[in-house]
Amino acid sequence: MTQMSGQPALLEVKNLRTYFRTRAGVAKAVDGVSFSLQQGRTLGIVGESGSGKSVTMMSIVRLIAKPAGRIESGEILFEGKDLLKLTDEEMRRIRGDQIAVVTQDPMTSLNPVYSIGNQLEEPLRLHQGIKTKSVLRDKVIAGLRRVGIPAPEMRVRSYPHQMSGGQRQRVVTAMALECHPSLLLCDEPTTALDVTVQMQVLRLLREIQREQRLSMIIVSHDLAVIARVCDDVAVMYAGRIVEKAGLVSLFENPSHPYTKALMRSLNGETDGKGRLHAIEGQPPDVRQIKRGCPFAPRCREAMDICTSEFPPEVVLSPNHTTSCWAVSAKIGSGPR
Amino acid sequence: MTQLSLDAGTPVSISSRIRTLLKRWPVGSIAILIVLLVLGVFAPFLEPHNPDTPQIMKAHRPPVFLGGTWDYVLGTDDLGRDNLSRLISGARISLLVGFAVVLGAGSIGTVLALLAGYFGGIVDIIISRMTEVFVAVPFLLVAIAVVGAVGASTTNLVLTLIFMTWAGYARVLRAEVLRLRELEFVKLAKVAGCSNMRILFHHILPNIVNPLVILATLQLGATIVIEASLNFLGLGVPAPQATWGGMLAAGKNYIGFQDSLVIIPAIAIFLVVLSINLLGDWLRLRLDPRFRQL
Amino acid sequence: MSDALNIAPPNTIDDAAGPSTAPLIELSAVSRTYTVRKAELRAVDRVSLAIKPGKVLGVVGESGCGKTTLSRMMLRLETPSSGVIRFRGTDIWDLKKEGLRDFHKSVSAVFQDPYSSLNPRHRVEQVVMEPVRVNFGRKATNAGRIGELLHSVGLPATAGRMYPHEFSGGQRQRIAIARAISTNPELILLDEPVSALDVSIRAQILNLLKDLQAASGAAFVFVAHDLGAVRYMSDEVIVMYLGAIVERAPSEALYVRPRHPYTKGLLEASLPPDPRSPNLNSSIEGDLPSPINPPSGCRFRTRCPLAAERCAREEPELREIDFDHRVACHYAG
Repeated sequence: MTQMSGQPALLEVKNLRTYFRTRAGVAKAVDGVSFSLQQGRTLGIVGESGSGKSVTMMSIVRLIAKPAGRIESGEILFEGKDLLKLTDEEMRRIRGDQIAVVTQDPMTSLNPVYSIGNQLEEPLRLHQGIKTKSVLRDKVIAGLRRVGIPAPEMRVRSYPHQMSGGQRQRVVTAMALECHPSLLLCDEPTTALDVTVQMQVLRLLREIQREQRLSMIIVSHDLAVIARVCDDVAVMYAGRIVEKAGLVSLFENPSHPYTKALMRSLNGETDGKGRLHAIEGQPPDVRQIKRGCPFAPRCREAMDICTSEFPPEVVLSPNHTTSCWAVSAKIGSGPR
Repeated sequence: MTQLSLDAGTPVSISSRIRTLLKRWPVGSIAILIVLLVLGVFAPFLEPHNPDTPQIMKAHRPPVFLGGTWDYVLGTDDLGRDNLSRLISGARISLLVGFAVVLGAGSIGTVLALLAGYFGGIVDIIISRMTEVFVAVPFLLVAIAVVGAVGASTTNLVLTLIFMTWAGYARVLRAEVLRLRELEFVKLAKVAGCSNMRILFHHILPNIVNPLVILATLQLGATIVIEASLNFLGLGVPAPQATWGGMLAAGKNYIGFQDSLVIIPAIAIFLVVLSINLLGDWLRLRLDPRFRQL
Repeated sequence: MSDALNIAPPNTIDDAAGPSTAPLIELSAVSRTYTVRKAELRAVDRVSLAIKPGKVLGVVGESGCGKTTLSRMMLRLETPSSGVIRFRGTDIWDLKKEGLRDFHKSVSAVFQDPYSSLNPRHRVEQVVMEPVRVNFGRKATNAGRIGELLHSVGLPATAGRMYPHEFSGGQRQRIAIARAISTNPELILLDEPVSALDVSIRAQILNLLKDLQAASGAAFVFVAHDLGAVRYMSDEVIVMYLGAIVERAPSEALYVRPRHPYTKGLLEASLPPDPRSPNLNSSIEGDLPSPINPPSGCRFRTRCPLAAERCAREEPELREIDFDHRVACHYAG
């Protein structure tokens, strides 16, 4: 991700921390996350529930539930300016215009009482100041056609409940793309869909990304989804990125024990006794993260140091880094 | 790493502890309600004078803060009865009627809600229609008619109020039962072979206790107001028993001459009902699991 | 297994293909229709199948294929609109008193959502022991048995005194499984038991289920949209589409050589991707048609790469194409 050093990154997140205050303590949902995204590339963030992947994404557009949640520190540089330093009004102008978001459940991101056409006109009016009815309609129809909605002239008059899940997801995508954003954020874009429909939506996302040289971040719990559309992958666990790599590099040389375990479960590998490889233990409670590596309690390769200190980032190749004491011990760049 | 104020281990000053206590608990409401409860339960021992015996010679004495004597702290009414004693005696009636009505109406409403929500079909249609009718009936007119027909007594007052308020419980709780009925633990209870009675009372009832408690608290406040209104109209507890509504009604003749006769019971009703409602709101936040997170 | 044989009445219908044992549960042309705004929705359409003691049947399909309605009917939570479900030879809706008690002892279930599956007001021990308590009486619910059950699903005995909200999703699903095995049932119906869990937890639960199945010898019906999990668990698999079975085969045969174009598409979509050349071309295009007005003839034809004119006219029957391998398609070869 840092390999094309000549070109400045479109998005650079530095040491982001987003915390939530709960009765049971402070949940460090995102705890020191850094990554960068080049123009025209797609980054996948993979992790389980509570890994902080969605909070990371929502922090970029500053949609964190207040007052419980707060971005504690860090920088989010988008085209060179720090989004965290903007006023709410400035942020609102960027959101939906230069940065668009596609969320998991297309049923809840569409308003059930307005027609599809009505809802798609809204961002154009808001961000592009288009007022003429016929121009708006034409733009909306063109947008729907681009995401592969059949007979868009008819469809603009339909309501969300009259469409299938896959079609609603296409409509939401069309809405996100309307103002020609330079960055598209997708949170679990296919999780609510059937597998056969998932493929179609993923294909749509990839085609649009290629055509418009769009930069995308796709957040998913499913490595299979990430593998089908992303160029780079960041693996998150308990609020931290534990491994970052180009897609092929990650799949061919997964190095963090957690990534390796995810790969084994993706391929449905079984051990000698015909049992599935499982990660033992429970996912971490982000309200009770102890010192050290959060994966240590479930890690087969855990050493003493793992429970006392979080491992520094080890560079395995220019485009592949991981944070694991076992890996750094192996390649000889041990602690300190 | 950023320092966080919520981290455990930092010593907490007593004043900040008190502040959190005040923020977390409705201390004022609870204090007022405890006073009310004590007054109601121990009324005969706390009344300085007999609340119902007239002493015409001592009529219209002002409260102590308006130049009266400590003997009659809140003054006396037109018949020379001690206002403080009557207030305490009235508290007992308010509590008695309030709790009896909430208990009766709550039980009836809960059972009907369980039956309607769980069994559905014709049972639901009958109960729901009944509920709608009762919610729509102009309450005060019916109460006047009923008491007019059967005569005023504490029992009739309680029965009338139960009759008129059960529908509120049934309506809210039925919706809750409908939601619970579709949950998987209810289906799994059926798979395990649990009887309908067991599912209703062992699985569903414990899960509607929270909304029931919240509802009952808010209803208690409303019941006390209604009870005062009926007593004010002379349709409740018969004289000479002191009630807050009755005190208001008697005092209204002396507005301008002895305002304290109206103001004192009015403040009592206001404080008690406000406290109950604040407690109810607090319970709603506290018991509703949707608010419990974060 | 031998128990099942002894209890089975002598007039059990012989399974034509199965020479050995009588089926534990048998569905004959079971349909279920709902009325939605005056239109008829056929959620399950003439499904016939039989499960023998100790076997695992996988049921696969996407949303709206009728797999959940089918499992609810087998659990006696819903009545079929037509057709018969027999448990050890008796129609489950003809069961009375003792027979019904026996059905509840012998059949249990695990559902998808580990949060709504456990009564939040009951302690874990109450949750786990309820089936024993209602079917065998309070005396059967001793502390030793609770500890044993919790241990067999990998939870400490101390968990019994705790409430469900104190556990994570994976642990809750273990509690739900402990409940499902508490009466030593002969048939356990698992409706998407791992799809609500985190990826890293799924394998744990699947391993646990497989161990329990091997140890108890109970028959499982494993309902899922995820072909991978079904393959790992099942002896035989049925694939459903819009309420009907489109393919039925022994597990390995289905995965090695799927015959129905829908099964092929599902399988393609579930294969682990190759990051060097990610394949996004699915052989199945388009969306699921409305179940209220399904396509004429073959219900899959609107999305099928093989569809021809005959498919719109004639509904394909489930025909045996290979040993024990049945498929409902005119052109599958």
